[in-house]
Amino acid sequence: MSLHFIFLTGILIDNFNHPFPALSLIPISGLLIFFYLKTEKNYPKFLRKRDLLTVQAVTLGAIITYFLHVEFQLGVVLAAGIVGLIGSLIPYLKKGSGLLREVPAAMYCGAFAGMTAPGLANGYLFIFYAGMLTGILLVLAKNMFIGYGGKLGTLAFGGVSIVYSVIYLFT
Amino acid sequence: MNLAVLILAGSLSAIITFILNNHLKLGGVMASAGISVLAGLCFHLFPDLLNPFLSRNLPLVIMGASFIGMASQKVVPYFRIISIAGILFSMIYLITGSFFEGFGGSLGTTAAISLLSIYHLKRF
Repeated sequence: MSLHFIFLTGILIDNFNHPFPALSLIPISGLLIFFYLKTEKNYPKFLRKRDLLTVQAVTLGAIITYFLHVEFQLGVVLAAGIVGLIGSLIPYLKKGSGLLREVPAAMYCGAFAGMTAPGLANGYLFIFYAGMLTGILLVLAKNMFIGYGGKLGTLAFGGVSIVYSVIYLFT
Repeated sequence: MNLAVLILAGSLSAIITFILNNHLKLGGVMASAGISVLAGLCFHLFPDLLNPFLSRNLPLVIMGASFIGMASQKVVPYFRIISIAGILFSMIYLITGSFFEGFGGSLGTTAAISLLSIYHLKRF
């Protein structure tokens, strides 16, 4: 979860000329380090066949969000919210299905990846790759930080920023 | 004034999502997405309701703070942690500036940073 520190460093670079925000980041990062040291670190790792469905749901969520945002001129918040709401209704199609119960979180996670601004993501291919990478990260981090808010968003940020930096390096 | 509205909105949105998620048993995704749709729809239909700064930033703050409320009650048992994390979220959002603007997931990362850094204060 070094992603959090990359993010904080980004804020720090951005605010280098303004002392107050930069100073206020120091207690935040101190508390964050304290959290990581205090939380136990045993995550069981296993992969199942249905994890492929999770990756697909994430990719689908990302592409639908980007589509709604770009083609219909809806705001990012509204687009991601609609995708999340539709995704959260899917388990009611068939109650008791363990397969469908994993779809809402996956689609909402993809929706965050699809919130990337069109100026940054030049086309659907970027969103597709970012969504797929986010899905793989979500599958790998399945048993980490269960029940903490913000986990899905962090994973989406990881997917988008990795794809962005790879494209930035190779073009 | 604008900043006060943003900070208040962040705290309120986190608490409302937490209540919808845990006390009404809607589940995190539906609670957060519902709040986001309400906020987004409100500002999509009435773009001139508030001044331009608020109508651009308020939906983002409400959505981002609602991610904090997606925490489950087993992990975060107290309302005060959620509300302080919501306030902290708005402050970090305000100082983030333009560096990560347009990156998907930056709101969620901010939410995670604010909740996780405040988390171990629960014993006080």
